[in-house]
Amino acid sequence: MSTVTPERAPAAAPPRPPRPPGRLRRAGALLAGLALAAAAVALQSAAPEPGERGAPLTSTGRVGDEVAASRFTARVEAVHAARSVEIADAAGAVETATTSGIFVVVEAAATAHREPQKFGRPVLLSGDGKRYTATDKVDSTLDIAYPYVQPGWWTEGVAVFDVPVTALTGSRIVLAPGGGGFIGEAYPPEAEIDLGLDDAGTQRLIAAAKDVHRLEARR
Amino acid sequence: MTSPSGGGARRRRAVAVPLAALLIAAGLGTTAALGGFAEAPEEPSRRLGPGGVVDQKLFLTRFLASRTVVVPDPYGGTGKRFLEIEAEVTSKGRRTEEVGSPGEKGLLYGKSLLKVTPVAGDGSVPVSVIPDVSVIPDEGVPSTQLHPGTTSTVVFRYELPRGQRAPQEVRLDVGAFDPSPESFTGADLGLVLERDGKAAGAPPKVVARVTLPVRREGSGR
Repeated sequence: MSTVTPERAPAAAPPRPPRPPGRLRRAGALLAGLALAAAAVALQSAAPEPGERGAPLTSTGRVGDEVAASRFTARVEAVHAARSVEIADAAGAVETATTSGIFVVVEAAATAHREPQKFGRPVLLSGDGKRYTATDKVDSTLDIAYPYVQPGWWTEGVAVFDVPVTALTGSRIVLAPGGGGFIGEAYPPEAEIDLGLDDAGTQRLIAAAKDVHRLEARR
Repeated sequence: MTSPSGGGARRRRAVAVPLAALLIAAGLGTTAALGGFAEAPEEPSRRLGPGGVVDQKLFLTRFLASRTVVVPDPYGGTGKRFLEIEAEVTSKGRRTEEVGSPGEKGLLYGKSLLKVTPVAGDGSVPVSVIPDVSVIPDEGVPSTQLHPGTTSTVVFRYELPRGQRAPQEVRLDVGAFDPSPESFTGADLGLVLERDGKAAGAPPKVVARVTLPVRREGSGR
């Protein structure tokens, strides 16, 4: 047996003791540390609140705009107000829904980007942040939330809301895909379209409110 | 080793420990005598009659009346009898809620009618009634939605089993909703009833007991 003695590195000069860092370098390190700590604290304020975690990603726009969310594009074509809504079903039978407030009839259209989409019930978000789900007094087959929205063409429908007059000013309509499963989607797409109702707009809408707004069932 | 210096100074009596023990015992005794650490009972639930208004935190509810109605059979049968409870509900919440159904297994708004007890003339509790539909009938087309800031007339309906005498009165245990329920995950919990105490399985808190005499009427809507 032979042993191999590792080649010895050429004898180096004994390592010099490290120079104590200069005063400037030390101040720099301290500053950098403080800056990093401050940045870390500042970043905390950007973290989403518990309520915001998984909240919808909202695309916004106005009446007439094509508002593109990640999976669909929506457009509000017209906004009407009415004191009652008359619904004629396919057989021609007529029902009239009345309200102690006012009906807001929103004509909307939507198209999907890649896969067919189905909206959940549209929501009217009032100026003070209250959420009014579309009324169930109107046959749901007329609703924009009823048909599948397909890629390639625009599907039209209405969203009818039954709201107190005080909810009109500053209101927006929210369209979002319906929650399909038991577990909600995190950060679902959502289109929020401003109905353009400032104080004057609200007055105009109320003044122009029809006594009866007639809706025809499909087919 | 050093021995304690006993001889020199006057022997001190150990006072602090017995005194503290006495104080603690007195404090505990007083607490126990005053009812212990249990929460003081809040104001007892109110008793109301027809027209009584109950603040349910997210809703303000006026209990109007109860009556029996007969809905004729469109095909010429004997028809069905229903017990109706009518209430005027003003939503103070921030979003549209549904009426749901009343009772212990109730849903949505209706579950705040914690217990519905029909009582016969002789004080006995008749066979249970069957919850039917809960609607807001007065707007041309019936609805089941309670919109924020609006007042709706809600009718809770129970089918009366055939051959059973209609109850004389209906007693309702009414609960309230927790305006801001605690949610671990931040997930939306929907309508949550206020509980009686903080324990996990605590029953819903009864904020009012409403007794409505049952009016007999002919045919219903």
